[in-house]
Amino acid sequence: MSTRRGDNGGSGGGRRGGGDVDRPDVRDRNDVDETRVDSALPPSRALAVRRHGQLLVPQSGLPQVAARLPVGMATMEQVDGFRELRTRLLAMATALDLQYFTTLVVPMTAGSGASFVARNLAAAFTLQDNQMAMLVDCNLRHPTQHQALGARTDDGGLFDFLEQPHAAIDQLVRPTAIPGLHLIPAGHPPSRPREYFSSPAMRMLMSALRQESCYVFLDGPPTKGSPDARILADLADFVILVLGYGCATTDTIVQTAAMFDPAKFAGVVFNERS
Amino acid sequence: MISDPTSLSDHVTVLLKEGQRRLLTLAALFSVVAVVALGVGLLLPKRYDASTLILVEANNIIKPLMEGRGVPTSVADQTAVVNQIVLGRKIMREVLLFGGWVQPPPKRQPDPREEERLLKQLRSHIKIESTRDEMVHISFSDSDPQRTYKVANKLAEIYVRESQAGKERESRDAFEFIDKQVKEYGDKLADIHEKVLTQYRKQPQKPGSVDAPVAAPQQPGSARSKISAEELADLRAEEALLTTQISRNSKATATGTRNDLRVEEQARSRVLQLQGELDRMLGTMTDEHPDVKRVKRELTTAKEELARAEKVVVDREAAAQLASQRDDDVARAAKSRIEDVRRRIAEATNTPIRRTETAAPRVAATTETNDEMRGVGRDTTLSELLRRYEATRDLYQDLLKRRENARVSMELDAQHRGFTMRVQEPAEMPASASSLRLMHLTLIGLFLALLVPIGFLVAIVRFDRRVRSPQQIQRLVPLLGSITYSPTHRERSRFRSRGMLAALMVVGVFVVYIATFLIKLRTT
Repeated sequence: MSTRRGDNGGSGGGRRGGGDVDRPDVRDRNDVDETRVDSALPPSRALAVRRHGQLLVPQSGLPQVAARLPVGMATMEQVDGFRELRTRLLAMATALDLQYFTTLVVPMTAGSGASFVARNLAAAFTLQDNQMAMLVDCNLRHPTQHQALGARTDDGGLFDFLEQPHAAIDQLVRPTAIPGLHLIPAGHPPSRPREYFSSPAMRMLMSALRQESCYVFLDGPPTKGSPDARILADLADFVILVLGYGCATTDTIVQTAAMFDPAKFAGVVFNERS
Repeated sequence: MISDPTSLSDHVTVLLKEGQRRLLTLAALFSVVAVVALGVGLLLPKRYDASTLILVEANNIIKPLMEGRGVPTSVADQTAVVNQIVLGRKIMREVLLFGGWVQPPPKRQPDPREEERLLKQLRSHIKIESTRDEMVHISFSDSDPQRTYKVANKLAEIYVRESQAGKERESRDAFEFIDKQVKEYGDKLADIHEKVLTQYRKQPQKPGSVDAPVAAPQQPGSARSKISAEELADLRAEEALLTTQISRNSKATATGTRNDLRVEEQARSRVLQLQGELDRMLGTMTDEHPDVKRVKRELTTAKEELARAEKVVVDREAAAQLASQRDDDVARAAKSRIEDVRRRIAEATNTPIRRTETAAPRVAATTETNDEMRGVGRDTTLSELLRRYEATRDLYQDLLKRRENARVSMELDAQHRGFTMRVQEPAEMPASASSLRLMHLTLIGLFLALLVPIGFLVAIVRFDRRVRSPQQIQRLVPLLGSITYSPTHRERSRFRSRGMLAALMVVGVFVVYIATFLIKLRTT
């Protein structure tokens, strides 16, 4: 069994940054998300879900797992779709000679399901042995990742850090129920509007994350009605535009895609689930 | 991957997805349309049709018998006119009263606008068609079955009545016109006759002059025997004229009589022929055989026609006698005159010509010539009068013939012989409504109820430009991938609830339909 870096304790960057940490407990505890269904694994193996330490489904096979998924996670049928996305992104990164990269996932409009895509795409990256993913909830208006992944927010989050950059970055990172997937929640919404994403604190945060051996995913706000998505695109290596079913016309899509640097624009993900 | 984003399968896939997403809306649309269609079917007034067939018999036995005498009106002309008459205000008002749409005068009468509306409505429910040349088909539609068939029969009655009245009126008018003309020419002829007689009376009783019809016999051995060659030529010309006149008189009378006799003879032959045919048939068939009945009917008609033709002959003879009474005086005068002229010609031819054999004194000769010249002048006036008399008499006789023809036509129409109309198939009480039945309406309603949601879906997919499949964008921007829709357990539960609700709506519609039909079956 291979080892993975980081842990799901979420207690600090030192541990994450400390290199390889064995995690034999992952499979022992069957503490995997449904998204961790890898074709390499036999169905009889694992594939039980534990959320917040509670065993939801014992080792009894795929159908039961699919039937009792945590809210907001991909179904067993959708996992292959996210794995395909992951493979394509990895191919792009390889072409650019990037080992780890930052991906911005932004929706065309609110309700397109970009948070769902970002979360499950990040989880798909953790399916690889010893790989970690960091999901940063940059959605100022509708932060949802902490709820979907069951992360604590009482210690603050991204916007608390951006307000008070003196705090330690390690304290922002929260573990999730999915091994290898960590979350920086949005935190408390700011009381006054500011250019948070172009601030030095944000750059500092991104620099720190880049130094980690993990895939970073920024869950951004909608492109429509706010320039934040474009600002965040400057901090990312790839941009994924999420299009919900019946959410935009082809003209709008083309116009929105043209807003981003073509070198960074990975493509559109059509989300029929929205 | 679907290569053609506009392929049919792509459209169908999108339609299905959209339908799944809007299941409740579609079910609601279906239910509303179906229930509205049922309501319309229940509330829509029923329409009943009643029709009647009128048979026009224009080509009966009368036609060949009355060839050249009676003039039957063509059915096409007649029906076109009657159509207009029946649909006219006068008749339509009568039908409005009959049908109870308008009450008789003591009650409130509709104002002109309302009446116009009623008339228009009534006309739109009446249909008169002349199928082929012998049939008129009158149909009427209304919401009350009893009134429908009553009005249809009334219309047929009015149609027949108006047709026959129109034909009678036409024939009577024609007869009256010709009769008036006959009277005028009769007066004119009498006037000229009087003048001719007067002219004859004015003729002096002298040798060489033209004798009046009542002239005294010639004195034998008078100077009249001595006439010139020119006078002889005149006498011969006059003789020829008088002979023609007398022969024409007799011929005219004979011709009229001959024609009538021919018609009578034809009718008699027809009767004999039919009688023979009937006798032959009775040898092999019973009285009840349809052919025997038909022949009997024709025989009865032929006998009536024979009687009529005989009457015409009698009338003709009486009329001719009446006409010839006036001619008699003239004819007698002409005959007397021609005898005189012939006698004088005979004398002249037996007597040597004066120019060569007599040697009368010059003065006497001159006086005689002057008298003769005066006689010639009188002869010219008389000839003119005679010519006018002949022309007037010819016209009079022609008009007499025409009047008889018109009388026959009038009598034909008065007895409804020339143009018979009878109601072959009277209207009957309509057993069922001819309008769309409730079942048809509800079937149409259900079809529409299916069509409207599908149309709604197609319209959304066709006209709403928003992207509903990845194939729509992959040619415009890079498509990294697509996340298929796979509902979670909770979503499945939600969808199941929505599906149940939609199914309940559809089932509810069918329950309402079945209940309605059961109630309708019980009430009927």
